[in-house]
Formats: sequence, C-alpha cells, structure tokens
Amino acid sequence: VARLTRDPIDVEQLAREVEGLGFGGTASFVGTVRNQQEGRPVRHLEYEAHEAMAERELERLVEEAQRRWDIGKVAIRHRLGRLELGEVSVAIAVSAAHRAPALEACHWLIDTLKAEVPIFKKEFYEDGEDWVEESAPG
Amino acid sequence: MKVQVLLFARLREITGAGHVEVEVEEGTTPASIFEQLSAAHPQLAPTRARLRVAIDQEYAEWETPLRDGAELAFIPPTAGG
Repeated sequence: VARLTRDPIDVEQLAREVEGLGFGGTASFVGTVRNQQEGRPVRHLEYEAHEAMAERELERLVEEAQRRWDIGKVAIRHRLGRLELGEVSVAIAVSAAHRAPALEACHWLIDTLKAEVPIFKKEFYEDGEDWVEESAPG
Repeated sequence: MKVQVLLFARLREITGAGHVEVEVEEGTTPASIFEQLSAAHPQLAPTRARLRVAIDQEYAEWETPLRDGAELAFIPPTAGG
C-alpha cells in the first residue's frame, strides 16, 4: 500500500505490513528531516503535493517495482504538512524471498519517488523560507 | 471550454490560488495557458524552465491539446523524500 499521510509514520507498522513467511527479508528506507541544507540551518519543513496524482504515481511505482524485481510486498508512506527536525518524512519497506531484489527495488523506489512523484518541500530557516528545487541527492 | 488549473508550491504563492478555472478555446495547450497566467502574474515566467505539466494526473507535453473539463497541473521541481 502506498499513500500520503498527515499523521506521523509508524515505521514498525510499515515493516509488519510487508511481512510474509515466504519472504526471507525486508529492505527499508526511512527518510528524516535534516537540520541543515548545504550548511544553512533548517528549523522545520512543510510538504505539499498534488495529492491525487502523487498517490497514483506511488501506486504506479509499486507496480513497476513488482514487475522489475522478484519481490514480495511493498509499503510506502510519505508525510504532508509541517514536519519538525528528526521526524520521518518518508518510509519504504520491500519484502522478498532474497535480499538482492529487496535492496535494489527499495533503492530504485526512493530515487524514483524523489524524481517523479509530485511532492514539494518548503524549508524554513532562521531568516526566511524557500521551496527546494534542486534535484541534488536529498 | 473550461479547464481546471492546479498550481502548487511557489506557483500557488505567486498567484495566490491553488486552483483556477479558465475559459479557453478548444484545443488550447498548457503552454498557452501558462503564457496567459504569466501575463497576469509576471513572476511566474522565470519558473517555466523547471516546470512539468500533467493533464488529468498524468505527465504530459506542453503542446498537448486540452479537452473540455480537463485538469491541468503545473508541476514544480519535485522534492519528496
């Protein structure tokens, strides 16, 4: 299941969502709010999205990952709204019978999510605020 | 015909609206609607090089002709994660 949420993300619950006795492992990525961007202190963040399209894109990514790799279940959550430093902004869990496809699919999912899913981030600094528009590794 | 235009992030702040309905001629393109919006809000113009467009929640081309009732979104650089 892939979806957006305004509530805190429960990473353990997400890992349980992809469990299965046929799967030998779960790969996960958890993104958290960092306290600086290129050396400039960040105080908090706000995420917004084209919500309907973002959820469709997330579902499309899950389907594509399941076509490309021999994996089990996939779960993705992305936060929207205001996030404080250290909070989880995104979490991805991928289960599979073997580790290689789980790890590869998880890596591809977070990279492709950042590039393709219409989610936007505003950073708030001590002396201002700005939308993040670089495609630099985040 | 009517097109529902969605604006996000910086675009929403520049125009002061996340959603506008525009009345345009049949076959109008996203490029032409963006030009009209930029005429009303000149600060939009410099953002265009980094935008993508989506029609009915699918990425599309700037020159794709729009249909009546379409939802057109201008998508700023994505920054999820």
